[in-house]
Amino acid sequence: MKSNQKSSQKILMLGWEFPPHITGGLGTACEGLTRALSKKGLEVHFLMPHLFGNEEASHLQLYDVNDPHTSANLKYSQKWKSAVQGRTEWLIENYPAFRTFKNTSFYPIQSPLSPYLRTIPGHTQVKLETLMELQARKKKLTASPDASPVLDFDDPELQFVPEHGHQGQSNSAHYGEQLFEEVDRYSTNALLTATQIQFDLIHAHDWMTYPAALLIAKLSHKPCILHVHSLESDRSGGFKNEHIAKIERESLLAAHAIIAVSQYTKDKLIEEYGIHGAKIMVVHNGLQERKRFKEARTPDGLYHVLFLGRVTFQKGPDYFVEAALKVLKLLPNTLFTLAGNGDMLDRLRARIQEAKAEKNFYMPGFLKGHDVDRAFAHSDLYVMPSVSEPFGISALEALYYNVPIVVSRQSGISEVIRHALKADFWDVDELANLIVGALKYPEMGRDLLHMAAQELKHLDWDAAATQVNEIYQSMGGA
Amino acid sequence: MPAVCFYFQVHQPFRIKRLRFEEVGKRRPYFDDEKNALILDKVGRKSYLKTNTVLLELIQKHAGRFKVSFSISGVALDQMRLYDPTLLKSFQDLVATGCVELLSETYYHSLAALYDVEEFKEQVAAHQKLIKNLFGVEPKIFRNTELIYNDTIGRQVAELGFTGILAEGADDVLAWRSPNFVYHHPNAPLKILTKNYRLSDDIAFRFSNRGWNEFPLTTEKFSKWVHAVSGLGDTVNLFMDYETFGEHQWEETGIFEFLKALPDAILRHPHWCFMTPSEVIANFPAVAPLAFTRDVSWADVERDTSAWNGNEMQRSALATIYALGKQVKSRNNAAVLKTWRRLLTSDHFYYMCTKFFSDGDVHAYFSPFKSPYEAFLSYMAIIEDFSMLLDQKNNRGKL
Repeated sequence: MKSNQKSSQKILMLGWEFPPHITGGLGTACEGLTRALSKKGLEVHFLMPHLFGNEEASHLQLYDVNDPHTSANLKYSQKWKSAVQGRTEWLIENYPAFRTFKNTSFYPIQSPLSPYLRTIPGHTQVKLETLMELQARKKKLTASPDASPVLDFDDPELQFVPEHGHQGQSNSAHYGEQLFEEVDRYSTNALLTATQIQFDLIHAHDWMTYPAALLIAKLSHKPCILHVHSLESDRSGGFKNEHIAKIERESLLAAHAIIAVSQYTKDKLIEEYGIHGAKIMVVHNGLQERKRFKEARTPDGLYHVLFLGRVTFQKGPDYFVEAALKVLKLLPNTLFTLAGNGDMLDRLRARIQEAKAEKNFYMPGFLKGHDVDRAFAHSDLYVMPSVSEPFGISALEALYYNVPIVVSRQSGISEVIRHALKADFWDVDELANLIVGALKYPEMGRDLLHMAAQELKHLDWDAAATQVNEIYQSMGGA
Repeated sequence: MPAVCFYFQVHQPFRIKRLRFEEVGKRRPYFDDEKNALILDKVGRKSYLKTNTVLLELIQKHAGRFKVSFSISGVALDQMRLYDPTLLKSFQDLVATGCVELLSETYYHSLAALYDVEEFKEQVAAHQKLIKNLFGVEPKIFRNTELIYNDTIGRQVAELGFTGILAEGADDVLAWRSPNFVYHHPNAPLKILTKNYRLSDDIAFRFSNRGWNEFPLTTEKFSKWVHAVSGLGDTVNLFMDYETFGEHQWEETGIFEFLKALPDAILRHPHWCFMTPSEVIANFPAVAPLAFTRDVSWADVERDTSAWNGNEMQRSALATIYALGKQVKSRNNAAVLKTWRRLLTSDHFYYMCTKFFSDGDVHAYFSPFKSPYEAFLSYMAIIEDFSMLLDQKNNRGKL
């Protein structure tokens, strides 16, 4: 009874990363969500730009869209095949024409790039003309979910003449060098892969996969749900990449439905991109059930405060450091761990040196695996002073390690966990005050954790998957 | 002849300011005078003054047949004297009618009965003295902060010479018994009036609740429920916060019209009358002993003290502030003592309650703080500052 009726529903899911190879919360969220969805009997086909071979994904069909070998093993859908009969060949022949970013001059983005890294100033004036834009212009596409399909095989706009191919490119998954090119290639290859999969609807995670999702939606006439884990304005602060923002906006306007990870994000979608609130559903992230390694602590007479995240504008590490310096005036025996990498690291090091507080700071860089466990387990308090945080799953993690949290009011987590200490990210005095209070009065931390535990019960992936499934049902994709 | 016994609680705390730890030792003021004056003004206009006027008219109209009782905390009276003497005058006028009984409580609306018996006695005495000074009467009946009561408190109250006490008619305490009779302490000369929480809460909480199947509550309906007690009880004890009228139930809900029409509706039944707690005790026999083996209060569904001492922050704050008592008293300094006592007021701990914070219900509504955690941190910062002050030997303790 439970899921028989739903078991026939097949989801084509487009993602960019999957554990263990992740750069942020996106991959983790995709794993948690797909696991819970498959428990509900949904068949999830998950398309990735690249697979490393050690993904733990027995619960779903994982595809490497750039790898012809996995494509060869695809479950074949005769129905789909016939639907695009003759077109597949055409697509392969012409596939550079599917370049989502036609007329875009690609530019290299330095450093190992994740979709979270900020663009390089000076490269933001790139002209973009996506398929969606062309379509939007031509058909005055509306955001209404019952709008007619966006793309069609007979659409002359699709008959681009290839400019140059990608054949010579390696299928690098180190998205570093040419992100837009990667996104472009992903879009094309995902479309090709999708022709060989039977599915009822499309569900795509963050902007890198949106163009692909809309292309496939257009060609398959299936509903398209875009999931927003973060927005360009969250990631970039002052240096918004207009190019990415444009992709986000156009795609989200064209989507049939949108899932936002928080009310905070939903509000931003409405405010920044003018998207109709009625098609945005808020589904809060859950937390992966997994064994957490809780190492016993040896008392060392110090207070331990943890920041763990990218050391970039978005995460507010500078506010963390400023608050820490204020805390040290009252509680000099405090050790602040600033774990993570990012472009603000050097500046913060200099600031700490200037304040002569080097001995109170530990900056181990990016932590993985047990080192993360250890960092949490050894902390008295977790501080997440994000300037803009769509959700903030790391703060949930902290709660699972029984570490009370201080979070900025500008975070999605703040709307689901009321029992957290909260301050505006810019209010360094208040941050410092909360940190001092939490360290001096551990009884408050115990009350916080006790109460937050009740709230956490409602925040699991099963609950999220239930909501997502309801959205699937309402899309009539079954 | 059964009676309706009204008791209204009037209390306003001296709310504390937000203090940060970096401000400790910088002699910042503890109490938010501005906010306290503002709130008293607002509650005074919306509730106290209006209700006093209604009651005065009812008392005059019914010429001795309509009576009520009040307990007014010392800190509420202090604030009336400081910020709004006309408010005090209006209560004095009511008491002067002879149809209003004043009850005794702790001056600082504190939890001293649970944490410091000597302090409890001193605060009760201080309140007696204040009531005598301001109203010229001596309360004979006691009601403890938030109706907090147990057998031990009962014995102490009896020792102080009170003949009766008000308590919550908690289900587990009454068991099969009715709240509508007078009971007595199992082994002390003290009569107990138990609150009829169903009928009390019909007015205090449910009056304007549109989801309630009895909405709207009319005086006909309510008096019918009261009259149904005929033959099954001696007294219907309607105990509630005075802010029920005009503040918890806004004027727009029709609460004042309800109050104005209620005495007539009750008195329409020839057997029924209004009595004050003293009269109830004098007129009706105590039908049985009633033991309170746990701490009972009138708060929340639990009817216990967990709204004030249910979490670790509250217990820590309570332990810390009460532990300072000896040192405070050894200073023999009236200002220091007054400050300490104002910090004992139960509301400070109520603001730290985490029980219902998630639901954003009454606990949140009444708190001047954004969260119970903010309330706790401000309180602890103030205690830290206060302790430093106490430790400074040469300090004159000017606060």
